[in-house]
Amino acid sequence: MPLKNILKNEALNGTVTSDDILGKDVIDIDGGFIGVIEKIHLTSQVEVTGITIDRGFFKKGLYIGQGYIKRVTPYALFLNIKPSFLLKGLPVFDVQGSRIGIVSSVVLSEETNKLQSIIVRSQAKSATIKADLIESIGDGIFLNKKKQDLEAG
Amino acid sequence: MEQWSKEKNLLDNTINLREVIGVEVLSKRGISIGKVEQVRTNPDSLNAAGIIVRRGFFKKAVYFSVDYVDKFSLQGIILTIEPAFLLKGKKVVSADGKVLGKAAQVTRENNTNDLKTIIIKSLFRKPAEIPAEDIDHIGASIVLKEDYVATEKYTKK
Repeated sequence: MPLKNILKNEALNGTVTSDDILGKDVIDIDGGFIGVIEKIHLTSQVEVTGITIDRGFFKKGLYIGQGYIKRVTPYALFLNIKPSFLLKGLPVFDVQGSRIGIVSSVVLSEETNKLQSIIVRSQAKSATIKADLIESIGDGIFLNKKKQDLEAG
Repeated sequence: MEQWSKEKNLLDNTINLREVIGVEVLSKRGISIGKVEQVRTNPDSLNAAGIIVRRGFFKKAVYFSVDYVDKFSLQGIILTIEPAFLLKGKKVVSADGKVLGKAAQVTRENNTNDLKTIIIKSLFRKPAEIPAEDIDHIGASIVLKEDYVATEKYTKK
């Protein structure tokens, strides 16, 4: 079939090409820049299943499933989540603002973004804190309990 | 110690303000702003009116009234806000993800934390002033509303 006939039958308005989006920024729901789009993954029926993000030197690439993509624009791709792996390295505070430690790793539910627990390192000790003890997440993580209650529990 | 007090002001329900000096002060999102240098009290009511926070070398101390304090304890102080000065240096992004520059200056309503404008700068463009009404979301970066027309306003001045 000649190319012009194919084009005539397809509604191209509102679509983007792979050239348009490869190399574009990936922005999470909090406005954080995660990296740039490196690959687009398709099924054999040409449906997008997700993207791979290049996060720069010395950082592992990241696959994000299509369900976590909010929208694509000519300049960037927006996610509808803040990837939980980004919590690594954040400071953790109790409900009163007392510093508990730093997130050394995160435990997710299978291959989703759902947080199960965080491992918090403080000096030589490390502790597992379940996700239901987290009050809020921003540039730090606030828990909903006092430090002494966590130690007792 | 003998006490003369009505129920709510019993000694056990109070804290020694001297012990608050040096306690860490955190923004709402968990950024460490500095340490308490002074606790100021209202001379009429004797209630705490606010705190002066020391931010380290080369940074001016700042005062937060108690209206902006969410949690106050000897372990830490958490504010109800993200102080406007923390926006400086954040990326400013249009609703479609175009990076317009970085917030270089922030103006606010009198002494409150209510934003009036942010001034953005980028390498090859003139500085631009963006009113607070055009801001959609402030998080890791500052995202503008969809109806903000970057190309028009950005070339003004």
